[in-house]
Amino acid sequence: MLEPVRTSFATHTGLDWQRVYDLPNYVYFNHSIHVNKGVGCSSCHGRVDQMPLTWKANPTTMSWCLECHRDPERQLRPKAEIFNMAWEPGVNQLAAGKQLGTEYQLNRNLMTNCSTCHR
Amino acid sequence: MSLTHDGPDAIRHRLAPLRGRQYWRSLDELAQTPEFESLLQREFPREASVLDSIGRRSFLKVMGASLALAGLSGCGEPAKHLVPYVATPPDLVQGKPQYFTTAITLGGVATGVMVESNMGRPTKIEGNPSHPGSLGATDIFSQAAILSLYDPERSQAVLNRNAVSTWSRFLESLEAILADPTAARGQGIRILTEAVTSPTLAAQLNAFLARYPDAKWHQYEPVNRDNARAGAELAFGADATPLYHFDRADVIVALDADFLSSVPGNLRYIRDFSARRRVRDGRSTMNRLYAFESNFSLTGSVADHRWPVRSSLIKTLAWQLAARLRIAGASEHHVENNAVIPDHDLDAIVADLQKHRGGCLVLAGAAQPPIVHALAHAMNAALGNVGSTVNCIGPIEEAPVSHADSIRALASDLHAGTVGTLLVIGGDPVYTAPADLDFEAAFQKAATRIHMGLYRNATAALSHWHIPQSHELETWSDTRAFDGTVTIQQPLILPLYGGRSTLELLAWMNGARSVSSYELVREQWRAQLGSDFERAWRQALSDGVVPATQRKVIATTMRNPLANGETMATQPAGLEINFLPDPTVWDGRFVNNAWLQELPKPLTKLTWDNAVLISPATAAKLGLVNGDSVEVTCNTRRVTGAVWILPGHAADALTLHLGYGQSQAGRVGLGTGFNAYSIRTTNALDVAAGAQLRKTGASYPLACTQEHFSMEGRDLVVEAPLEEFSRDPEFLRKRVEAAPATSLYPEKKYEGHAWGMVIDTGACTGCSACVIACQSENNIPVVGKEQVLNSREMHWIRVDRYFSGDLENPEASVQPVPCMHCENAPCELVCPVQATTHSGEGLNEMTYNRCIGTRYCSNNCPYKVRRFNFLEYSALNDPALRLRANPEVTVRERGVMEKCTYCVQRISRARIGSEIEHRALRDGEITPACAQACPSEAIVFGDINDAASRVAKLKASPLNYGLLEELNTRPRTTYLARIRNPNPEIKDVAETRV
Repeated sequence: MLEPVRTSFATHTGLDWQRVYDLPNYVYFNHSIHVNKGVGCSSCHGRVDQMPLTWKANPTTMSWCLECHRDPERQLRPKAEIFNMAWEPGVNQLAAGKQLGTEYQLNRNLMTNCSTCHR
Repeated sequence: MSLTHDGPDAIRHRLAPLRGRQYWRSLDELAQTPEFESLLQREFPREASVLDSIGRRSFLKVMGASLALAGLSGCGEPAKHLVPYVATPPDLVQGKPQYFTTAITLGGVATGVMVESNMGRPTKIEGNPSHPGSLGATDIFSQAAILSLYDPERSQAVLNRNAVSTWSRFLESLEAILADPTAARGQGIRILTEAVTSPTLAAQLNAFLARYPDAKWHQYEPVNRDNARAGAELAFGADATPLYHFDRADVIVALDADFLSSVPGNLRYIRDFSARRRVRDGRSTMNRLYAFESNFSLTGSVADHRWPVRSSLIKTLAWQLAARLRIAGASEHHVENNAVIPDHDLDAIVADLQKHRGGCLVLAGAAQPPIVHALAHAMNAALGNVGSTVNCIGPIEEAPVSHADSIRALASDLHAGTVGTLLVIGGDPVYTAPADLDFEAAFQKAATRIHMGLYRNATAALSHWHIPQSHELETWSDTRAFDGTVTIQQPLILPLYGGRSTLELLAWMNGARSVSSYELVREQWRAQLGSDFERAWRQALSDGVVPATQRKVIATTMRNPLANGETMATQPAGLEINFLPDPTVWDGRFVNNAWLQELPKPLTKLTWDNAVLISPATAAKLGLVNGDSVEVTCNTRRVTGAVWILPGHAADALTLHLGYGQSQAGRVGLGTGFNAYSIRTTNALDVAAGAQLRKTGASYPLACTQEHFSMEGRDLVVEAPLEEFSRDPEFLRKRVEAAPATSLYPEKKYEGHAWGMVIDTGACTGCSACVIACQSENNIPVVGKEQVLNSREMHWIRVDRYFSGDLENPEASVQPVPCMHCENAPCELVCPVQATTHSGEGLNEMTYNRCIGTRYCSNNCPYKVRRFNFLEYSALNDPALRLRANPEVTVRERGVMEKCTYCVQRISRARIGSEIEHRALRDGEITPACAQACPSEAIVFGDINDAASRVAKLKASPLNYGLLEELNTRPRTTYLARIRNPNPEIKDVAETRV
């Protein structure tokens, strides 16, 4: 399955990836701030480790984004778990998330500003 | 609409009863013409609110080339494929911009810049703080260079007799010329370049001349320093360039010297000059500027005293000043009894200069004859300024010559038929050469004509071979700043349109058949950068300057006496013409740059054309109104242009800006303005006497942004003399109506950051670099002349200019106006779809994807800073231009309102960076594009909740006020009042202003 990657490396030709996640061009998404504030890969991309062919795990609509921006506690995880594909919110997620939110100094009053994503 | 139909006489009549400080935006406004009255009744003038059917052909014409930069994001099908790097270049994080230092030149003089590159695409130019000619600032030309880089109308192919050919065919033909045994010493070979400050290029040229000793190298810039050079020779017996230290100058006399805009080093000079005009931080003194000039320049607009004086009389004035300062050779008998300005004023200026010995400056303008430069040198020497406020260095050009002599010699050889091969590198001599040389005919007498340039201009069209030249951002080279400091120019991108490096062509001619410009520049510097070359090279690239390369200060001694048979100017008869480089298209090289074409020219606020600038008195005498087509005759040569009345212009004089009316240009430049070169001759390159004006009876529409978005009858620009401010630091509160203490709206508290801006109108020179910087950063489209006539220009920040006082000698005040980001924003209340909202940090945000285009917000904005995309300005773009777009900013489509965002993308980037590093944002970490470009540091942005921030401190100043504060909009953008420093001894001028 990794043959195209090896060929690309060996022949120095670009690998033509199919785009799965494509936000509209007026949406500005920054991975680094999400990863640094306790939002793990699987929160948006799903169980990519279990996908034989990658699919879009979430709708990435504005309301879906806002669900989390309004109420981030439900998705925050410890930094050590960011890349853990199997991480699931625990029973104490609300309390744990709240504490992590304080620890990560979430800027709650800015997270739903229009210009946070649109500019 | 913009024509003053009832003429200046009527204006004068109506002006007579007015008392007090009358601000007026334009002659029309002053005249209260019915057109202007009706204009005020409308939100947008002239059916601008109606999607009228503009002719498709003309629309396509203006949209074509570099207009309407945009595209890429926000429209069309999203990309379906991603092709990442196989091996990512080192230091590149995909999606993050990289910055490279290089330099952008104008007339050979470098401005050091940092170019932002997004995934290999250069997108934005910023100043390089470590470069002496930039100090982090940029001017309009270096900002707009990025647009020229992508301009799809740049020349794209080697042409042989205007048919597409190839580089190798060209080389074969060149080989044949160079190998011709009958011309082994290069007989008949001529090379014509622009001013050369590049050590590597000069080395190549000299190597060529060594190889072919009978070949000759000519240099020609239509706007050059010939007068300054000859003046230094007159004064010192040797060429020298003065370097000024405005930071040490208390009193400055500018003799037709526009040192704030058209002089090498002007960015540095603006910084130093403005710093001395700030009365704060416990400083209570400021410098004082006296200006004498014919045209109304930026320098004149910031002057404390300005006298409109015909250019030819400046020399008389210089002699008068010199005589009073007891300069040897300048006794009173040189001065005819025709006072240019009242004796009393002259005495006051001289007294002021003498009081500040060693701390004053006398400047001579580039258009003034050599004797004025020599007199300025003599006066500076006599006043003890040498070594303090002025030093002389050797010329920064590698082979300084008189450009006028050089082109004249070339033309005469061409006419004589002794030129076999003429290689023109850069420039457009067929268009720019003095008219009396008949260069067009002369040029065609050369057997082989080769032109290398960015555009297929008039010279290219008459050449046998045309070679596309690589843009400065596409090739390696080196260049010098105004003080001689060298910058290595590094390419940001491979040549987009197959441009060729000048260095490589010359190296090829010198026999080095496959050497790259990179190697050539490195070889040039290998010996000079010391033993650890690689390290020094990398350091020079990283800093953007090569250390210790500035020209040494040279000791100068005055040659006595100065008289030298110079006769005094008598009171000239008839009209005289001043030829000046255009404020935005310069000598014509930027005619195809739509950003510069649409940038309102300072003072006139005209776009897309040049005009015949005349004073109101002259207009009245000749019965002319704005837009009247006139034929200017000067020694049998004629040109037809449109009249524009410029208050404060010297009477009986015209100013014609060069650079327009080109017969060969792209779609942007074609058909704009008239060609002032066609009446400019070698004996009168700067000032021509004895001109005549004849009304043709036709009129020509000039696109002026002056009357649009008028805010009349209110205290918008607040000014006071230093003396009033010292007496009563709180004077401003008595003038400006404060915001009501109580409000209908609940007070909103901003936790965390609260962004705000302060614009210092006292420091602002009106140079408009902020406008182009904003356009570049925020993907703002250009709309074309017809749309500007409908006041649909899209600039997010505009520079308003107000005149006050006497019609013939008014004061000008400038005021940059971006969005005010009101805390009680009137626009937000009326948006039916909440497309414009308030952020938690106090930004007034505009969400384009929500906007449905009702334009209610714009109607309700008292500052008129909102811009509406009436047409799909970005749609007809050339794909090449999409590469230029800033990926961090949405490209807006038709039917969407837009406005200044305080560069919210920069705020986000800085905030994300600081949060990832777990630290607070530092003051000064976020700089909007306008503030970053500003040479006078007049725009300060920051967190007003942080009492230690620069912006918070400025807002606490007694000079701080808000625009239309009484409306209770609570603008986050506020202004500092302008303090002027008039000489109390000069009463008569002061009186006309009160």
